[in-house]
Amino acid sequence: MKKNSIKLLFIGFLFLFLGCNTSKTKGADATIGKSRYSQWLSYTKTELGIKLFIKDPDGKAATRIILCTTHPEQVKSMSTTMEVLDINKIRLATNAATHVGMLVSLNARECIGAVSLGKYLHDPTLKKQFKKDKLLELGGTSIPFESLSKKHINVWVSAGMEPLDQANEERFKSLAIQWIPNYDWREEHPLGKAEWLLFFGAITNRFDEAQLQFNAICKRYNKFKKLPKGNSCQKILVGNFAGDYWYSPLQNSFQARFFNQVDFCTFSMNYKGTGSMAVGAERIYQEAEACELWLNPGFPTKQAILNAFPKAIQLRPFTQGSIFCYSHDLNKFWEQSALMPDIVLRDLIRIKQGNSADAMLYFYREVK
Amino acid sequence: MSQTKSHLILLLSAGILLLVVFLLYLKTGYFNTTWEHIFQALTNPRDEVSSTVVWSFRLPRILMAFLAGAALSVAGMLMQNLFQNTLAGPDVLGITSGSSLLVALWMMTGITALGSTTDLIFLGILGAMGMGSIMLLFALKLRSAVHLLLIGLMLSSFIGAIIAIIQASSATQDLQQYVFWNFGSLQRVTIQQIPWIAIITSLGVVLSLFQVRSLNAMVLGEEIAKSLGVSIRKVRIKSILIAGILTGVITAFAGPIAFVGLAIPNVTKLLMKTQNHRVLLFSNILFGALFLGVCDFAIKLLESYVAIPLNALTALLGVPFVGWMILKNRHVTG
Amino acid sequence: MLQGKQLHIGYTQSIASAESLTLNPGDLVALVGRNGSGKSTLLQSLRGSLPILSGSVRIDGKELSHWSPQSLATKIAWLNANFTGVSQLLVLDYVLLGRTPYLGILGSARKADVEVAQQALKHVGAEHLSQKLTSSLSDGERQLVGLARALAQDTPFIFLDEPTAFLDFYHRKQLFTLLKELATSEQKGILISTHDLDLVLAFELPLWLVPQDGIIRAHEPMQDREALEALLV
Repeated sequence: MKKNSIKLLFIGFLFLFLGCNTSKTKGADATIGKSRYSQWLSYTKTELGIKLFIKDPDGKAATRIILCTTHPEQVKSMSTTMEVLDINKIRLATNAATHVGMLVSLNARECIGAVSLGKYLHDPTLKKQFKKDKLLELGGTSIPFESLSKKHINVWVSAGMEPLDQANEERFKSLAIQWIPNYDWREEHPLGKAEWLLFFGAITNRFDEAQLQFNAICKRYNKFKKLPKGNSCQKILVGNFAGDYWYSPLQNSFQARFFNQVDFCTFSMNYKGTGSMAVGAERIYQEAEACELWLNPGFPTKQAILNAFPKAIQLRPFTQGSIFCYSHDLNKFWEQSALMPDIVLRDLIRIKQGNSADAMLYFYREVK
Repeated sequence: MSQTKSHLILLLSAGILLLVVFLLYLKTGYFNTTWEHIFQALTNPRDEVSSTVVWSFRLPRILMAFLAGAALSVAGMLMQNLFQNTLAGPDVLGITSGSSLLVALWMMTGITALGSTTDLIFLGILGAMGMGSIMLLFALKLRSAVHLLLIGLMLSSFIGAIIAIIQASSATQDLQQYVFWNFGSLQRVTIQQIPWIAIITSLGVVLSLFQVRSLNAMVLGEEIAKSLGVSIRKVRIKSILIAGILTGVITAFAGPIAFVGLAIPNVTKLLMKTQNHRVLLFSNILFGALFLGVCDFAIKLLESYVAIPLNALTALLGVPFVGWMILKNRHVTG
Repeated sequence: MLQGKQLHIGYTQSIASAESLTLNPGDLVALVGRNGSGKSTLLQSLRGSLPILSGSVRIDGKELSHWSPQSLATKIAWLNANFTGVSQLLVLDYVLLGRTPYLGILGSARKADVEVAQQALKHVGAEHLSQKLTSSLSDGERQLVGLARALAQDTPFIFLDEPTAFLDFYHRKQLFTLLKELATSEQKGILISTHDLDLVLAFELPLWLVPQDGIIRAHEPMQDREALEALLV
């Protein structure tokens, strides 16, 4: 339990603060599907349904090709590389808040059979369902196979954190549960991440709706992107200490993509890489001297920041500038932000423009 | 060469090394500071970058490294003496977990009484002492040190379970604060807190000094110590209380720091080739401080190349060293 | 004088009893009996490490339970066959541990204490070992050094619990000779539990017999091994 909650925290921490550290190898080989922004997901419409192509970001496993269909019986030419997913009655289990958010957005709540922990839910309807004991809590570090089958789960959507070993593969198979990886958290482009909405659209038989929503997101995001944000690169401080080190996003990280759009700069964005860099306190102190804004410290109040790191008081934005974070409602952020990159962007633009009253921001709040 | 002479030489060199590490530590960092800067900052701090860097970042951190190393090593020495077991340490007695429990409760329930840092100090020590007292009750009932050791280990797991339950039902951001604290960090301490830690650590050292007579007799085993007029009960009570104070204050400020309390007392014993606890006490202080000081200096030197958490480095440096020591001295048995 | 009367000893129930036992300074008494007969229990009870079930044990007329641990430590020294706990310690420092009951609150040995310790080492003929590490000693040397520690404790009574267990015949004999000499020259009351019946007979030691029926009694020195063995059944 302990390990698990720490792990969950880290999963969140990882993809919010650190992004990912793997090299990207973009290519359209082995897939004939298309995507607009996503690196790891592509798709194509066929007569029988949507074909999903899911690439392994680590390049270890072969690309998964999944045909999502309401007429599995009509699939004749069974190829060995392609799997068939019967989407007539999907009940899925997922450990990631992002997945929950996407399913909620597609109004596919009834497809959710199991979530990581009830306390991480944001959507009120799901919360109610959880209280009525309709949702299974995955909780522990091991996969609760027995409960999965009891709750008639037939799809396990995995963030790919737990590698699928032989034994578990057999177990999933024997319970007729399909294990499908979802690498939205490995995406570097905000819209690439949002594009995984189509993944859920395909497996819940709501592909057209998903496409509509996704196109709208892209449109809004690109519109905000074009808004004037002031010209020069405004230096900001990003992140916080974890132990003795401060983690700050690198040039191609997920976070940095947003900051780039808003012309926010932080020193670590001068370094190439997709993850984050660890730097010592002294350097942060020096970098902070040039900043008036501190984003994403990971705590909702200044007091909480101080409790964790008393020396934050030495950082210029803490005393002479302003701090913004989404920590006051993490569940909301985790569930919704992947699908609302436009709103994240809008929040950041408003923060930059000083138009940052609580009512003007959706995810962010000033840390006081 | 007599043993006293070699002891003096060893302690003196440790002392000199300590000073060298201290000065190098103050000089080294992301900011380029000259010796003049350091001297200026130490003697006549001004509102300058170099003064801030020295007083806010370098000085408290190296002093904390010294204090934590010394305190945890002395606590470990007391525990190993009490349990007649080289594998005993503050963590084994559940003393560290006592601190963790109260800190976890405080961080994850969001109840603040006296204000952030004061609370943390107070609770860290209170937790360690509380666990110490529970261990004490067992110590008064149980004759065998092995049984006590087992109880300590069991209580640690028990508290671990309670913390896990608190974690599972706490809000995410509170959890985060605890997870960060649990990493163990010398960075968190401020210069204003250092005197308090120093005073409490010194208190523990002075109390240990009054224990030397009993600690030495305990080396012969509890039965013989008893026949030498040592009250086993009193030794146990005092050792647990002192170890509680020392471990509690360090854990409250720096989070749980692993390995030091276990390794340094062993290394010290092997280096000094004695079981005279007056010698061991001072040696543990110096060697413990030196070890953690060097560890943190290494972390700082490597900072721009690779991020190493403190707890990882202490284990990384310490485990092979202790292994080597044990192998080298394997013909020496109890 | 150490005196036990109407003794019943044991942990929870009586495993042995004695009408009257007396150990005087200058005596070297052998405590003999088969394994498990209660020799160790008796030694524990007489030095106050294990409470007696009934009866009384007095030193200089004062009930054992009324002595403080520290003052009792100036009356009885105790030594067993194991050289426990010590891996690395200078022999002199080890013998100095015998001075524990006399040390001040900081536990530092004064010059006088060091002299007593050196004298004790000299007494057992081990002064040449004083700067060696305890870990480098042979079994015979360990027992001598242990005895020196007991001597440094400067007590009228010394109890030895099977001190010859790990020694060869030569060293056993040497130890007995030394103990006999100490008893007479230093006027120590020495009680030694042992299975070395031959040496006990050879040295004509007065006996405390612990037979299987659990009734402990004092006995004159004996010469005949078979007669002695018969008494222990």
